[in-house]
Amino acid sequence: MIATGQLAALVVAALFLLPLLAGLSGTLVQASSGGDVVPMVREVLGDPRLRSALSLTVFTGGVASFLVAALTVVILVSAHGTRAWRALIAALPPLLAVPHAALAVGIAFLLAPSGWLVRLVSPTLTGFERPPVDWTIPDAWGISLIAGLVIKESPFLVLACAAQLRGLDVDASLRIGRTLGYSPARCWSRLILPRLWPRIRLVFLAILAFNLAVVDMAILLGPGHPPTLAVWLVQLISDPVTRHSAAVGALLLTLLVAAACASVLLMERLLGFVAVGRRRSGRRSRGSLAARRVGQAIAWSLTVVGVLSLLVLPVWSLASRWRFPDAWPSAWTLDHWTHRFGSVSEPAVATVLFAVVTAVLATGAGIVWLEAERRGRVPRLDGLWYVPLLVPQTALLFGWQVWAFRWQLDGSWIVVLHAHWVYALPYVVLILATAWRELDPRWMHASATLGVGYWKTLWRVRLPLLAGPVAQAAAVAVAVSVAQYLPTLLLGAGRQATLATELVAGQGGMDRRSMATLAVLQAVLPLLAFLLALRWQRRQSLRVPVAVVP
Amino acid sequence: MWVNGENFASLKNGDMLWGAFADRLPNSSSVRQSPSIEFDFSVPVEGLESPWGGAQLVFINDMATAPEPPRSAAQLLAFVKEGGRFTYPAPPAFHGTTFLKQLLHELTEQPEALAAPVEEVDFDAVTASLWAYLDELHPNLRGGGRTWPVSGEATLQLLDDGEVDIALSFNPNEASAAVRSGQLPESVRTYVFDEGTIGNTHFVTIPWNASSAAGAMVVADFLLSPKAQIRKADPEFWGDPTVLDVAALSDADQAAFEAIDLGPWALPIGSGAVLAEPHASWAASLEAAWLERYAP
Repeated sequence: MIATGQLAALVVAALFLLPLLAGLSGTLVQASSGGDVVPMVREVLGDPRLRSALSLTVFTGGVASFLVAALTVVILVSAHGTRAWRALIAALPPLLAVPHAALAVGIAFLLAPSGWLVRLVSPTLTGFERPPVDWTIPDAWGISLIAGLVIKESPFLVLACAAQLRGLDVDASLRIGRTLGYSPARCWSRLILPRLWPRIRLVFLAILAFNLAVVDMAILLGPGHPPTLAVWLVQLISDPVTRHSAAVGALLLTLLVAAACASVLLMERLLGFVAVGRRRSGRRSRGSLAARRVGQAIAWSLTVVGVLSLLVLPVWSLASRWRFPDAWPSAWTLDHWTHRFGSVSEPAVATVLFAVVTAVLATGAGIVWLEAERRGRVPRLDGLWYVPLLVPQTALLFGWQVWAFRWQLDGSWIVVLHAHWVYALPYVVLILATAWRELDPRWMHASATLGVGYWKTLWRVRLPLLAGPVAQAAAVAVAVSVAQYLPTLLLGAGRQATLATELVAGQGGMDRRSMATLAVLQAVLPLLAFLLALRWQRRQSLRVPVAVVP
Repeated sequence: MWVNGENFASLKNGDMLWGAFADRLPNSSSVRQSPSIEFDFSVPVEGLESPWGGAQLVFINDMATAPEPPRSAAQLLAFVKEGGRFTYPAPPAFHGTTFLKQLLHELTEQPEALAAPVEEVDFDAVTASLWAYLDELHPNLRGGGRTWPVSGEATLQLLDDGEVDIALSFNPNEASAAVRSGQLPESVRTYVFDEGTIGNTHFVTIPWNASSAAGAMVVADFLLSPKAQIRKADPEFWGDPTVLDVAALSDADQAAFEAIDLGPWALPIGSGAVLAEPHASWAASLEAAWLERYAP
């Protein structure tokens, strides 16, 4: 019985870690298969397209990550503890659940010169009878991509901070700081942020890595000539002639991510020195209400842009005619839902299937692992769970593809599912871990005292008590699976069509209204999962006392 | 097997085709006589493939915003300089490459060189006027020549949005289908340049290792039948110009072709000459040169 738990946990670890090792080594092998590595690297580095792709990637990824961090601080300082804070924290999870591709499509529909925002205020406010020509979406500099990444990733960091702040007793820190005459902003920068940062450091690094290596959003919102490095590599990998250049490039991208993470850690040290000096200086300043208002306005406008990007999707999917500068479609139709039902339902069903099986298997695996960990059967892996979130998907998947091909698994359902599971599991474990470790052990003691065995205690006491986090973790697993583009594309060898792959493939070639239909479906699935999780959580929390009392 | 011009050239070169079969098909007697059916991207067809449908580069304008659209490369340049809105898909997207061929055909001082394989001519000399033209055109395009639509379909969307005044298509009837599906406004019209535009014919062929060559010939013959061609020409299904000589068909078939309602949006029949595609080898060279110049 004990051995079963341990064995199961080891299987989970193997299924999780082996693809990571195999993927990276496969990419290495592929990179070196083109002959000597050094001339290969020199050739790839000498390619002018690589240089422009690289600088574009550093620019978009770097600026987006900086803005995400800066905005998060602004939002925390200006909104935390206000009434708006709670509304914001409630509004963010849905935005977080929406896949990148669907959000990117919505952002393009919203922010384009002929997009919804300009339409809503034209011609009454702007006088525009025709769309302005001053910008395009996507643009050549990557501004659209940066906007998309900031809108998508800021809620993630804000929520991660919100979760950690609960353990930091912010109010007490603020009270002490204010009593000593510091402005709220200084209380944050001197008392709270230095304690918050170590707790969210890894989350921020994961965001940085993601911003540098993202593919789907960069295809939909990024420049095409040249594209970002990750997008260019995906173009190279599909051509047998340039396969090993792609692998070399994927390793380069990994190095870039590592260098970026290292420079963040370096900056952390530098800021640490500066901060100590500033803390000792004891300088005070008066808080500025205006600055606070500006911060709140930024937080709200980002949320509004995010929400409008999602709302514009169903509107386009129901539009028959919708010309500039009309604020709403002039004619509506259900055609894009009914006529194209066949071509939309197939990838939708495939997406649901992947998502549900991934959620069940990832949640199950997470529970197996944390139970074994709690009972001291396996060591804590902590940092290792972040590996898939830190290593660029291209670097893992190029190699994984090689192995899948060797074992004739490429294009199969099971290998795509495996990849979805590997990418969902870290989130599941990270969500469950806190709850698992914090649950009062006296519940288990009470149960043992009553003579109830391990399995029954797990089933009747532990899991019902943890129903909330479990449901939440499953919903996140659904969201992660629905969003997977590159694993589905590369390991599915084009044979596993999901909403994510169809949506990205439709870029530029597909009628906007059909794109909107796909995007609505892709956005709705994780939202549904979150709603179900919420309902289930409520029902379980009502049942718990009944279940525990014998 | 549906084959494009470049692949036909390499299949023919590699001697990987089944043989001359097209002229022996019963329905081939009513196929129109035309250079674009006898030569596929300047490569003689010689019965190795059977025509299936025609296509031509066309421009779609919105009468509400550009009632008098440019009808030549020179007019196009003047049009964008006066604030007209235009862009084209970045090569190697198909419509982008075809647009380059169109401009080259019009601008080069050696149009006869285009029929020869690109290795045999002085590429830089033949294309110099094209690059000079594009250098002047690009800063005036939507996105300033730094960002490009990814496909011809994307230009239709931009036209509907009003971000451009003219869209590109390689199907003279596409606007008709797009208006019917609500993708374009009823005020659009299709036209070609006064001197004509690049067009070609698409073909089906039989590879040397076909397991059932006779069956393939039956299919190729069916695709040429008036019944199949009428259905293919109907924008309700596909909306592709036919390869048949309609005047030579029976009265009933002629009536069926005339009954296809393209509306005022498609290219009026007989409105523009079809210019021959350059030799199949030009596409890759043009694409590479374009990318090197404008998207390094």
